[in-house]
Amino acid sequence: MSISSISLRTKLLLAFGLCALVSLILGIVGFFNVKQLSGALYEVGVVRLPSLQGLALMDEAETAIERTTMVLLSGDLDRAARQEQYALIAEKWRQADKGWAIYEPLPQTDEEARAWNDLVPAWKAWRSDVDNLVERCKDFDARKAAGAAAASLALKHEEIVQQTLAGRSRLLGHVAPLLDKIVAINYQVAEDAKAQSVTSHADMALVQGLMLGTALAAVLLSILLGIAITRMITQPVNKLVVGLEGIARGDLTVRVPLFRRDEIGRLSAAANDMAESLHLKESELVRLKNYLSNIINSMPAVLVGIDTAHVVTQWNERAALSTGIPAERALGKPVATLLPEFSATIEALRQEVRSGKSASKNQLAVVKNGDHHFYDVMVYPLVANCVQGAVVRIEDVTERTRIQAMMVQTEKMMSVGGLAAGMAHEINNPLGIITQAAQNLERRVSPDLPANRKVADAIGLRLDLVQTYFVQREIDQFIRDIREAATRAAKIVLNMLHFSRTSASTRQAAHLSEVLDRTLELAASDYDLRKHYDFKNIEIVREYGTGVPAVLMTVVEIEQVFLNLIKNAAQAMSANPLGRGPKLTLRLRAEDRFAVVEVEDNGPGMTEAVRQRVFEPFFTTKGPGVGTGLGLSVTYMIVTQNHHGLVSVESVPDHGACFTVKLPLDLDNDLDNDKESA
Amino acid sequence: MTTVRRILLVEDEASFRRSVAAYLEDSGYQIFEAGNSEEGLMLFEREKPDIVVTDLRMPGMGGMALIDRLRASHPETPILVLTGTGDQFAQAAALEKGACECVLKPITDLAILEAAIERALVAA
Repeated sequence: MSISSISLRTKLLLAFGLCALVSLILGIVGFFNVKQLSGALYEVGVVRLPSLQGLALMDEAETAIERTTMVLLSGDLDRAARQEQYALIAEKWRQADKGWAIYEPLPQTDEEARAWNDLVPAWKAWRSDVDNLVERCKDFDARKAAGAAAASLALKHEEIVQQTLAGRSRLLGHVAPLLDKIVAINYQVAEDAKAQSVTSHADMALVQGLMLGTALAAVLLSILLGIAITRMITQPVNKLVVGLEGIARGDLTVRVPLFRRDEIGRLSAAANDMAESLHLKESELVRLKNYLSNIINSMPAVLVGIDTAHVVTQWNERAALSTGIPAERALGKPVATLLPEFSATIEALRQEVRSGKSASKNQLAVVKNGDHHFYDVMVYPLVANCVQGAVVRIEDVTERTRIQAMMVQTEKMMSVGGLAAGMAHEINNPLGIITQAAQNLERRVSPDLPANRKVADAIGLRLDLVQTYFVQREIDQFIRDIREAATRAAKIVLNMLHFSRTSASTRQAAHLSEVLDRTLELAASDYDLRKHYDFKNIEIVREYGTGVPAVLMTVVEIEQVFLNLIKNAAQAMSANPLGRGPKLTLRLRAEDRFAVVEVEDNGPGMTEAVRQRVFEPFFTTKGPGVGTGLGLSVTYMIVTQNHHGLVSVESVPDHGACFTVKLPLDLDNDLDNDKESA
Repeated sequence: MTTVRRILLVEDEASFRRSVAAYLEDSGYQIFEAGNSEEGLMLFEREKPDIVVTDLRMPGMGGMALIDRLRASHPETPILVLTGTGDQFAQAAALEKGACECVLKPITDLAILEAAIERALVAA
């Protein structure tokens, strides 16, 4: 377990506990030391010093009295001198009493007390001895003064000597040794206390040194502890605070440095976890926001949010793209000014939406730059932040509408094709009968045929007159009409049969530029074209892009497609006004895995209504008998059904029409499918 | 033309057959008309024509079977097929079986048929 893994609380407790323990030890040592020292000082200063003073007074008084008693024994003293001695004794007694008074109340050791108890009666007995002596001396003096006999005086003196000696023996036998003993005890105790105080004093120096050292150590420890606490708490807390401030400012990538495992470490880890979690949540939010924004922006439809006042609150990329108005300029503007062509529809749908349901208008036709476009407009209610708004979705369905129309067209033609296949055989026989019979009719009134002449001669008929009659009554013309009409009908049937034909087996790779050129040659030599239209006067512009790969196709069919389109253009341009020379533009390019061929004329073009129906079977704008009404239908079927391509037409009335044929460049899959179905 | 060419025409629809026959007769051919394949086979055995012109779709034994039988018994006689424009596969099958040419119905100009007959006779 490393230092950093010990909890902060434990560290602080350990540090303060250590300090407290050291202080306690020092305190106890100091306490006992001071107690000892003060005890010694008290013993010496308060007890033994006065004791010894008192004892000294007593001792001095005792010595003085003892000496005085000895003085009193000498007979040389006069009365006055003796009187002085008495006074001295009395004074010394007072002195001794004073010493007694000082000493007695002071505390004594047991031994001392025993000695004192022994001393007190001895002392009192001795004092009484001395007092007796003084009385006897005074009595002696009085007797002497009264002139008592020398003998009695001598007796009296002897008495005094006896008395003095008794007192002296008592003093020396009891009082003095006891007093000395007590003094000695006191000295001894004082000496002991002194020695104690010396030891204590010496100890005191040590204690002082210890205390000073401890104080210094405490200061040092405090500083170190302060630094440690700063390091342990303040620094990481500061770092934590800096990190958290960063996080609070929104910088969620900030991380608090993490190298501890205590509370701060856990706090830092928690802060980091929090930041990480916030960061994750925020990134998730940002991701979600981007995702939603991307969804809205990548919608292939115009998405516009509007509020109750029809002011734009949301404007997706498609809206910006199709209007040319960027979102920052669109937001806050009324939708009517931004999408004027849809404002009426949006307004109408918005009224419906008030009930809380979505409303839509499908395939709204809008003319833009002369082109017809179709839009699905949908308005649905949106309640965001308690604001009643709506979302307008505008989808360009022009292409889809056209494809739908084409699919309807294809289905129509498929049914026609199926019908044609079944009908062709049944119709061909009657058509054959009509044409063949008409041909026989023509032939059998001709004078050129020997069989005719033979029969005519036999019945007396003049064939030349019959001929004349036929011409004058236009019978010959009627017969020709029958033949032509039947021939046309036969052609229609032939064209119709193309609907039910697929001829994948005859597919070959060919370059569309070559096919186009060959078709142009065919067109130039086409009987119908030469007969009805001045094909040589048509200005032909070839705009062939380079690098268009060969396309897998049934060449004769594609030739027929181009021939039909060129014929169609030639027919259309024959109506051109003077001054606008017919001009046919053939374009070839590769585009998005398709080879694209455009056949454009500068003829009268067509209205939208015509344009929508132009590939329908039997739909024709030409006069009766001019076309079969199937040319473009066959074109359509060959391109879409047989070659999985696309064909469409764009036209600006009075300016011309442009047919676009798209043939897929990668036919591998289609070919495989064809092989399977073949 | 010293000898008259003899044509067996097998066609189930009488009006159609009649108009073709009339034209070819006018052109100088001798025509034997049959309304179905069985009748055609019988006429063929009896008349031994120079060429056979036959429809493909007919009730009873079809044109295809007729071609098979004639190719088996008289491989030298050329056979011309008349058929509807819609029947591409039938045309191909007939040519495979040995028919020398197909003429598409409706015959908008019978001269086309006549030319085909001449071509076949020259080739034979």
